[in-house]
Amino acid sequence: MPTVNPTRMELTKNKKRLTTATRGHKLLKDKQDEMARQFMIYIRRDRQLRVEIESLLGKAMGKMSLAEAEMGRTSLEEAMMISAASAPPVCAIKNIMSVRVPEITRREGDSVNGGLSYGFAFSSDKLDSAVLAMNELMPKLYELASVEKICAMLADEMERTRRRVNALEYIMIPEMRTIIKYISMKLEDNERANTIRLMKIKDQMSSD
Amino acid sequence: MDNKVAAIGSHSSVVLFRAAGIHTVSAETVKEAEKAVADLVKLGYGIIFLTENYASRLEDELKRYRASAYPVILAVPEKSGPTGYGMRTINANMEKAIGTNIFDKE
Repeated sequence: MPTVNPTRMELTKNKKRLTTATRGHKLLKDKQDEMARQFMIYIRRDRQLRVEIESLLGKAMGKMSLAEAEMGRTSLEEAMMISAASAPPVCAIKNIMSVRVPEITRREGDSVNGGLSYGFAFSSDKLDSAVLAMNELMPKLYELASVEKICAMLADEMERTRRRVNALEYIMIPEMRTIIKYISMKLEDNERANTIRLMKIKDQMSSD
Repeated sequence: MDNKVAAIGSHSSVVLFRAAGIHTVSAETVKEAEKAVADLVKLGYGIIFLTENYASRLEDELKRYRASAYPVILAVPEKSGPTGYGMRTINANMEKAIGTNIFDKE
């Protein structure tokens, strides 16, 4: 049973807490709904990109190993030494439902010469196609990186929100309700006891 | 914001990333990969591509980067093909967020 003083002050305090808790609960529920909606968008994109990249990257890697077989590891390394230093992506932070998530965008027009920066005399054409495939793949890889991180962060946040909603719904709010009920019953009881006492006294006084 | 990009994995798996102008670190063992991740994060790399075989074995170490926006550590399939780890991660996130996996299980 609740261990509170059955006083009027406790009663008003708890009533206030209850209204705050109910409002908070409603807000958190709304947050949960909106987050689920956003999450679905991102997780769909995540899945789609993952499937795409798994097949494309496999193909590009296959081409690369063909090139390596044709050219030998050393000359491949040599060609890679002056690799196309493509412009780094722009890393920013954006806010989704007050979760700070990464946003990675690629600068436009960064590849010179189609991204091939080595001499063509001693390199295999397999290398060219591998590098070109990779350059095409990079924006997707960056997007997948950010989308997957967003999904992970949103999933964590959603789990936290769910816990909060459940704590409010099944523990905090019922607890406050019982406290309020308990106090108001006690107060009514006292009120009645008081009335009875007064009546008794009045009876005694009139019989005297 | 740091926008340096790196890739970690066995030599044959990351050589392709070098072709795209990304800093690569070859790691032939899990220990090496773990050290490489820690070093690169310390150096302020914002995006790290890590091959799936290492990512799956370093799951616990990578958890601590989960809560902040950067670094973004992405598991990529290696040369021998995807292991299904990426898809498993997606499904795990799904289950965590919604409570159940609502995509059709293949």
